Amino acid sequence: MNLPKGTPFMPEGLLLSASDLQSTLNNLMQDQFSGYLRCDLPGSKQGFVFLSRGQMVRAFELSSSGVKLYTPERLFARAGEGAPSASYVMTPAMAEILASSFALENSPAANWRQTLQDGKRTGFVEFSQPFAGTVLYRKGEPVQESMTSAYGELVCGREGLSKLLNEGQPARVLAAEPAELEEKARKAHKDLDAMREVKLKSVSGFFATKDALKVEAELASGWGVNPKGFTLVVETPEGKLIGKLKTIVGSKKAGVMEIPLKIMQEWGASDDQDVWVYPE
Amino acid sequence: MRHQPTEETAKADEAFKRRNWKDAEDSFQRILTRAPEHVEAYLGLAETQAVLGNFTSSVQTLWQAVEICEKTAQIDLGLNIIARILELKPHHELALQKRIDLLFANQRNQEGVAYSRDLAQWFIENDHVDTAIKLLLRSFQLASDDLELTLVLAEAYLTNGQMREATGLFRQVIPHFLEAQDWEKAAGIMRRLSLMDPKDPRNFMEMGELYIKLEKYQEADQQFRAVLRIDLNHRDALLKIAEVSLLRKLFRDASMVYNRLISLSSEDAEAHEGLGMVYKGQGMQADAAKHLLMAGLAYAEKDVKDRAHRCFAAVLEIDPANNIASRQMKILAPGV
Repeated sequence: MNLPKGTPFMPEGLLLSASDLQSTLNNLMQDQFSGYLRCDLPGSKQGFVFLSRGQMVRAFELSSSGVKLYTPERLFARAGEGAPSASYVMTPAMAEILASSFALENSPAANWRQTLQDGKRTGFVEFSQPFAGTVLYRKGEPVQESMTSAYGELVCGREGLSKLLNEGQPARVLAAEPAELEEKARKAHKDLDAMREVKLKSVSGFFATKDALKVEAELASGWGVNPKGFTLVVETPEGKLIGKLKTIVGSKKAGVMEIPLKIMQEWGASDDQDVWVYPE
Repeated sequence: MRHQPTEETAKADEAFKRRNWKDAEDSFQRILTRAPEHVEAYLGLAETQAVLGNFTSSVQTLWQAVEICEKTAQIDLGLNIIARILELKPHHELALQKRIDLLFANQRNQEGVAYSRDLAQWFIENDHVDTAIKLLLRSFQLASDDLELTLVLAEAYLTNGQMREATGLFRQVIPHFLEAQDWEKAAGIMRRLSLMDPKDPRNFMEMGELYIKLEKYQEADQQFRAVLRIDLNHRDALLKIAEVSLLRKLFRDASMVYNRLISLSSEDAEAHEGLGMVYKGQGMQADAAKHLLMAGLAYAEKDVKDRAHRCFAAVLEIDPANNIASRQMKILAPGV
């Protein structure tokens, strides 16, 4: 899934390192910027960080296999020494709509206008005819702006909107109900907020637990989960799922998660490996 | 908007290429300290600031470049930079105003007027009506025949409560739209006028006339009747109602209106002529001749000879032996 571009701010495709990206993001936030920062990551993946009036709304990675939410820091970490990057300007409302695109679904092109309006849906519609452009919808209404016909590919002037909406045949319609979007965002952000970085430490022997991970009691209490048993999701720093397993409290060492040796081998992980964890 | 590398910017460009963004920024700034009119250095600096995510500074730097362009008469480049600023910040008021200034200063009046119109519209929508009027008046001095501009100015006056000025301008454009046969536009303005001053019969009369032109007789009738709500005995409106009734083939209605006019003034030549023609059309020859004769005499009294002649001729067509009509025709003959 490609996302429509706003007005290019920095020259598109310049290589920015992880620290460049982080500092650019900090400055954009300070300047009350609205739009998004994009970086092309290894493996044909794209990272996006959306800002509305300087507030970071969301960051996610887009790949052929889907969308995954991240914190900007984790996303930028993958840019390494340099990733082709770009920043795009748009209105706060536009940035917020595109930030929710991680949860949008393909809608049928037939009767698209009525479906969006009647269902008060939020999303976007891409057109290739009579000219190429994307129209954003918020709660069933197309997003319209004064004094400009478009922000990059985002058509928002009265004349252009009227032409596309009346004569255009959509190439792609992505939309969802606002309540559904809010729920998905709430769930995704809950997972993100709960993410913690820990080091793996394998345990084995007669007295070692064989079928559960062990984390510090403080971590479990911070998550508000049952310390006697809950399921933990374990990911690589790049966001790839390593595995899920029952977890209990019991690790005594700060920032360390104990893992049964056999399970660590099964997962293809190694001792001292940095992983990210959050309760399911 | 990419800058064109020059000899002076070589060092800064090199830092940019090496992705030493901060060095590039410092280097561009140093150039500007040495050569404050180096537009390409401003553009390079704005570009670097964009990479660094400094949105406000980047726009400010572009604005400084615009000021230099104006100072050094690089108008096209200045307009291009303004366009870039407005891409990033479509509501940048200084840039919006400056674009108009530069266009007017360079005799590109048509573009200047078009941008003034758009900007004024935006000012009006955002309750800055005084600014809008000021802006429009300046354009109006250069292009007083621009109908769209006149309309926006009229709207601005109207929003500002300056009814007399608004009405004057609306009235000024109506004949142009009528001449161009843009009936819808003309009708729209007339409707506004009648809403603005519902006590002025002129607005309804003009609307009625326009609807006759458009062959919308029922709507025309409604407009003329609206005049009667202001003045029950408005002669012109009554005559028009009768005329429309005839066009709608409502002969009984027409004769009733003519009779009412005659009851208001027994010497109303037009009313007698109209009534006479209605009777003639209905085969009521004696009544027709009577009213046409009275119409002829009333016209003759007012020295409207051609109309008087027309009425007496119609009488003689019905009653060739009518002495009064014959005599009057002889009196009129030399002058007609």
